[in-house]
Amino acid sequence: MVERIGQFLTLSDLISSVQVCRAWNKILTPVLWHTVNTNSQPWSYIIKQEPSGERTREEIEICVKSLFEKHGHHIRNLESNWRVVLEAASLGGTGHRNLTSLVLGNFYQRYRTPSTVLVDLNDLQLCNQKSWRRYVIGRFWNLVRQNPGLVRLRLPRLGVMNDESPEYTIDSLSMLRNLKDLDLDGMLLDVGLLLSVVPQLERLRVIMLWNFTPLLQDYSSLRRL
Amino acid sequence: MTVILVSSDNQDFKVDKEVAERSILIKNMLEDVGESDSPIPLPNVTSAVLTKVIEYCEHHRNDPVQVPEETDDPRKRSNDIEEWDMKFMQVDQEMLFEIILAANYLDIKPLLDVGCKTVANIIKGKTPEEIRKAFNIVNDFTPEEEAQIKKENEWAEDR
Repeated sequence: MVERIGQFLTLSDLISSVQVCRAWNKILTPVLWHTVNTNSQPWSYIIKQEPSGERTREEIEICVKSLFEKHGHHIRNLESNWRVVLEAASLGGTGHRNLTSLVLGNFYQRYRTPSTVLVDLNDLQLCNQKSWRRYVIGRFWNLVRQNPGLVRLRLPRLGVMNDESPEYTIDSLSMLRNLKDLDLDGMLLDVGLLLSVVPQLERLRVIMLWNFTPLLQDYSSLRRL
Repeated sequence: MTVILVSSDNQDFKVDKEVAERSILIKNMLEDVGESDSPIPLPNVTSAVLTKVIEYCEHHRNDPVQVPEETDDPRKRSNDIEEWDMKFMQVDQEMLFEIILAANYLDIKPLLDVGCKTVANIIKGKTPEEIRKAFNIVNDFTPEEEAQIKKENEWAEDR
């Protein structure tokens, strides 16, 4: 019953509720962590203060990381632009294995990462470094591969996601037997090949299409392109 | 057509079939039994609670059947309560929880939702200590646990 009530609570009320007693904590913590979007309030306010003598950026990152390590297995929907979240989530042992929706490095997010405090995945300077892109993309696909239950996936906008070999991308996507909603953003992929490995796809968003021919075939599941 | 419901304290309630069938439990029972006049015992519901539940079902007898909400995020549900329902739910806390339990047992989802929303509205904007007071809940955390949980959740404070 408490769980059902939790479904009608706002995030801030849930946060108060998990502090009420052991039973409520146990029941409501999964509800609280079900959907985490660090690009929205109150997550975007997580650390209001600048790194100072008291807390360095590293200390703050460790705090955030330990939170995600502890509660990662509750998360179903994750949206974040924080490097530290990607790091925590993509480490195999931290239990981020139950995701159904994943959006990382969304370029169009409403609230910017408090970049003086936490590293943003879209940090322009970093994105110009090949090693950084490699690192982020490697972590990203690790995370995807440990979450075969994903239903919705949006690829990070690093512009040059195409660093990764298309075979690896297609192979990773082919493991997602429940994937219904895919946003490739700027990534160039052979759509025909893609749809042959994820035939159950219902929504697909691409920025550029360089081969229309496969779309002339009938993909019965695809309802929106 | 009417059916007779019997509360746990053995009181008979004669209600229209259409009203009784707001409860999926009763609807299924009636379907299983077919045409029958035999009273339906509800051993988990007292007459005081059943009176309230029937009042709700009478008022909502013509509502369209609720379609399950297709939202993956359990937190996206609306917290709005109709004016009549709000008045209906102005009962003491014990009765409120009895109604929720009965709605759960009888499988009357809209009533269950209204009950849970009412409780959620009581929690709204309260601190953990105020919530404990409101529902008479004992804080059973050890001081260490409490400090840990407070620390874990401090990110949401001071907004």
